[in-house]
Amino acid sequence: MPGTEPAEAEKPVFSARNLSIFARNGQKRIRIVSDVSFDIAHGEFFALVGESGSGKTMIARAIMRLLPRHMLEVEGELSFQGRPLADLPEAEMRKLRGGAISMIFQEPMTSLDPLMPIGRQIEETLEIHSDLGRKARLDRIKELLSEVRFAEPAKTAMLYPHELSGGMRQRAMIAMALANNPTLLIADEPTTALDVTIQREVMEIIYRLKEKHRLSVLFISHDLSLVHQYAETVGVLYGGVLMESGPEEKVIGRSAHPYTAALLNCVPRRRIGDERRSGIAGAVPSPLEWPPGCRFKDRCEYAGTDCAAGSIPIEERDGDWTIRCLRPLT
Amino acid sequence: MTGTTPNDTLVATDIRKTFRRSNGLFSPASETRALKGVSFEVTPGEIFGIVGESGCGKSTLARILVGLEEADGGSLALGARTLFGPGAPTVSAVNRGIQMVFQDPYASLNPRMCVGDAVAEGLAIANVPRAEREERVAETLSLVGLTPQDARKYPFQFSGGQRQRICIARALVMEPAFLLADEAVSALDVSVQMQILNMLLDLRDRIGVSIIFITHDISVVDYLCDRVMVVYDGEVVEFGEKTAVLDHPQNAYTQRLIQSVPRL
Repeated sequence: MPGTEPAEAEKPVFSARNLSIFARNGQKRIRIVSDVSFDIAHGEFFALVGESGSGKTMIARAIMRLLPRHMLEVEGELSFQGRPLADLPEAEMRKLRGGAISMIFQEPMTSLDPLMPIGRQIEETLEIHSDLGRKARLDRIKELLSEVRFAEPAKTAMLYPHELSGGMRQRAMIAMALANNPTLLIADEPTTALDVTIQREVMEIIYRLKEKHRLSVLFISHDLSLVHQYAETVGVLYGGVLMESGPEEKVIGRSAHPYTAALLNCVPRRRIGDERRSGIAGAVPSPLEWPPGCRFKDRCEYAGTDCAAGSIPIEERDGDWTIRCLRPLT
Repeated sequence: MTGTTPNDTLVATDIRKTFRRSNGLFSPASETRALKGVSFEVTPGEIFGIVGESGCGKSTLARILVGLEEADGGSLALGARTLFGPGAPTVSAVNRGIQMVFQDPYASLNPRMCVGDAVAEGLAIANVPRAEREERVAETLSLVGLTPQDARKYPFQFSGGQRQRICIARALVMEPAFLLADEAVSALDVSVQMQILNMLLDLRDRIGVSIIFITHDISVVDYLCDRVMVVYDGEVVEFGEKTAVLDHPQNAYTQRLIQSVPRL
């Protein structure tokens, strides 16, 4: 493996090109994600941030093809290790899911089978995706559980989900997601339901595994502080549009898009005297009420009439930073 | 009407609560000591933060303060009035002068009741005449950034942030000395969360209402509160000025909690 790394590092592990997603409801076709492009490199921690309704979870579902095509229609290109995901037959896709691409969700209790011990659930994914024998599988389960810091992996493997706390369940989910040495881990708000001290534990585990196995991570979150702490690359979504994307130190550190800057202004921190953080007026509109032109213009303090005129072009800077705005701040 | 003035201090002394759960006929009942003797004071016009992780007892404390749950021991006094305690009659929830705002604005409003009726319900229970009710509802809706016309609408016509404003109006219409907010911004988007936090600050400045703000989010406490109390496993582990507690935590748990918070 080490010999192949330099070549692999050059081309992205995952790439989305002009991705649009439509939700179908009978005759209605609602656009929920518009023209989103981003790449995730080998061993990269990529964070998609956005408020509710920004389309971040829909992107994750589209990658995993978790919804049937008559409900979720995808336009544009999604490719994994150079293979287009859209045309992959379902049997091939099934091999990828839980294999090379795996996913962890916000609420581990709803993703685990309540009637099956943790070890047995991990074994199931091993049975499907690997040709390990029974003995090797049991060793692998113990190895995985100790990798996510269970002190007594053999004992933990015997436990049922209800016998674990929220943080332990999320760690068990991570162990299951890692069972078949994935290349890409999609983590959809994995710590939102957890206490901060547990959140830190889980984040440290994900980060350590990324470093150790050069895992690519697509991290979906609404928490900018968390993203600032762990992500290398950040994409900011609003109304299904990628407003700004690039290295963390540029997007969060020197935000050029007024939405990114406004979002950072919503993060609470200590006030001095009567100071107020400005926040953002109004609320996130529903996909049925998105304005023409820039989706953010009605809440943006810099917006002008031209912002409503039509689709906003993407500005590229330094080859790694994109901004979708007519009036960037910097 | 409630007999309280804005100048009353809320004093909670040694509040205890144990939940007992039956394990069937042949096993002994199990006990959870949710609150193991919690004491604190909230002074008029202050924003007081109660912080702790899930299961620490902070919501049980909130329910006891407003009268949704009965304490096993301890007492609560607002100024000269004893709200509950040994040898004193327990004051009903309507007359305590403490009103609550819940976490989920989608679950805490009756979808079949128009906003005006929802906000006026407490006043109706307190036998306030209809004309005065309407007037006070209109006033309170303006106070939280809604319009008197919104009284005729139904909850589904509002966004999450607006619904939380309605819930705050419903609490404020009773002219409480204390507003008790239990994770009142946790379910909201960050952009809307900041609007509600700023509104709470404005309400305190304009009408002098004291706010007890229960949360797990340290950065919200840092933005909003004057003093803070850290609860762990049913006990107060640290208490004091926000700046002192957050900048120089003494207790090991508080230190761990503060270190775990990601910072921007």
